[in-house]
Amino acid sequence: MSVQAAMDSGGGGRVGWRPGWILSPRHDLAWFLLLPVSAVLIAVGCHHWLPFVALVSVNLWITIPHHCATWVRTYGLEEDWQRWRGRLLLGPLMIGALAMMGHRWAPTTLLLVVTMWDHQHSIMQQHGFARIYDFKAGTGTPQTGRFDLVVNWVLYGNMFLTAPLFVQYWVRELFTWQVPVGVEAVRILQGGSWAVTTGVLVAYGLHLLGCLRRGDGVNPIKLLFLLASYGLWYVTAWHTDSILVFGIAHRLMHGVQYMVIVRIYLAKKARDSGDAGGGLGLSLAGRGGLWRFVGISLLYAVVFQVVVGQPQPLETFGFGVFEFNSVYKAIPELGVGRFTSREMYALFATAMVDAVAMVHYYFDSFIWKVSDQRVREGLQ
Amino acid sequence: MTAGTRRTVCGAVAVALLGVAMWSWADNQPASQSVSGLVLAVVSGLIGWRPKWACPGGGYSIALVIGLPAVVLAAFETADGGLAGADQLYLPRRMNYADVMIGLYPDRDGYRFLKAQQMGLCRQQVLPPSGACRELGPVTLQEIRRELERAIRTGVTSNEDLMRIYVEVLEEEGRTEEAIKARSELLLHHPNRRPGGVGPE
Repeated sequence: MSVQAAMDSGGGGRVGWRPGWILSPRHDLAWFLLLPVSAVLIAVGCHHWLPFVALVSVNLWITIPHHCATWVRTYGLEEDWQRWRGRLLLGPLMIGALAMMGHRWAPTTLLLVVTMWDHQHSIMQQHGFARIYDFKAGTGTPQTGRFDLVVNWVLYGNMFLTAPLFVQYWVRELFTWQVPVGVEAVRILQGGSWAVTTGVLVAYGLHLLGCLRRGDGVNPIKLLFLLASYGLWYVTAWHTDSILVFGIAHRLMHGVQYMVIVRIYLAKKARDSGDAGGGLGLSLAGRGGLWRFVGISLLYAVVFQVVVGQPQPLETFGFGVFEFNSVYKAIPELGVGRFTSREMYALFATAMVDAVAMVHYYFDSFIWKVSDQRVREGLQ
Repeated sequence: MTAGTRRTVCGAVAVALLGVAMWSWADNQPASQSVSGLVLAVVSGLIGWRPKWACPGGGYSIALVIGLPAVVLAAFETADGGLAGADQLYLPRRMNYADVMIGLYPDRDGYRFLKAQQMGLCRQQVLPPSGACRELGPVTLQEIRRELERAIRTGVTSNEDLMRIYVEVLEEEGRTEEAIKARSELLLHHPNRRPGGVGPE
């Protein structure tokens, strides 16, 4: 059923349950409803049959290409480039510099910042999809977006506070930052978290009932999507202590869904612009563009891996132009020694991994706002 | 509050905080104090001035929300004695990382690895005597190995340190053959495969 058909069958769009799809029932089933289930199965399979490097491989072939999708959207679309040129130029420079400094002087802080930003970014992606579902189905009230946001934050936060997989990390961080906690304190916190989650879910249920009763409509596909997403996260975080299983399942869902929405966006923008140009990004839209999109993403992954994974290729690619020793001169008075090329490369490579991820989080914080009219046009 | 009053109040607070930051720096107070003062002064200034770029929708608000607390944490990290070492993490009595995790999840044997780390630290006695070590008493290699094997039996050996320490314990015990097997497991880094010869239940 298409969005239009769903709307039509709803008797003027004023019925309670009103299914709406991001793309089409077939595609949504594959990418947004069943993908999380498949991702869990694949992750469990990797845990049973593959070494730990499988997580790194998923990172290479899924997470890194999904960063590429952001660059295609931001730097490849003329419209986006025109709108956000300042941020697209300044953002990476500022974040890159901060990542370099962080790795040099405060690596634990940097790791914490990247990790927490990653969590925030994951929450906001699922929230964004939920908003698209409501936008497509024409369901909900102006308050529904806020309810969705709170539900996403509370569900994810509860998982973070209560699932053993995450508890081991944040308890360790608290001790590391000299905030020792006891068993009782953690249990009280977790009890409070469950209570808040229950309260928020009840309030959300009441809001949905209100929407149904008033005829504002509820998109059941959105609810199924949220169920599938949080099902993946809760199942993998609660029922295994393996970061391998959680990491693979999460990255498959997050990365693939992101690339799908970028493709949908590019295709719509390409249709709107016709032959009027619109930037390199639009050449990756359409049927033939799919292979170019996949090809560029994989090529980007290979190049990124070679650049940050091996010291020699970078030097080779640079024709010897990259002379890392010259980046920092020795300042003995301040205790700053001269970096060797190996040290400089290690700093560059590790900072690069975090900087690229942070730039992706930063760009996503403003390029996907469903409240933005021009973004909505791309998702129509 | 009018915009003028807000600017005046926030400006005064920012100047006071800048003064605190400068005094802390001049008086050789911890670096975290100066940086925190500086960051709070900037925050106060931004609240008073409200530049467009720092407001919601202005483009850089998310970077500020994440960046400013990060600067405070970084100052804490770089200060002497900022982050806890292994002694503060594992060795205080009861209120330590290993015992908290095991207390929270007594049925999840994966966290016995943390107990093994704690016991290893106590056995090495590289750190001053502590509450947890006094409670454990003399620790033997066999006890550490048993804890590691409980963790390995869960099949979740994705923490590389688990297998690395296991190899070291086996080597120290003189179990050469088992150590070779465990080392090969470590090198393969196969989370689901249990090293042959892992001790009895």
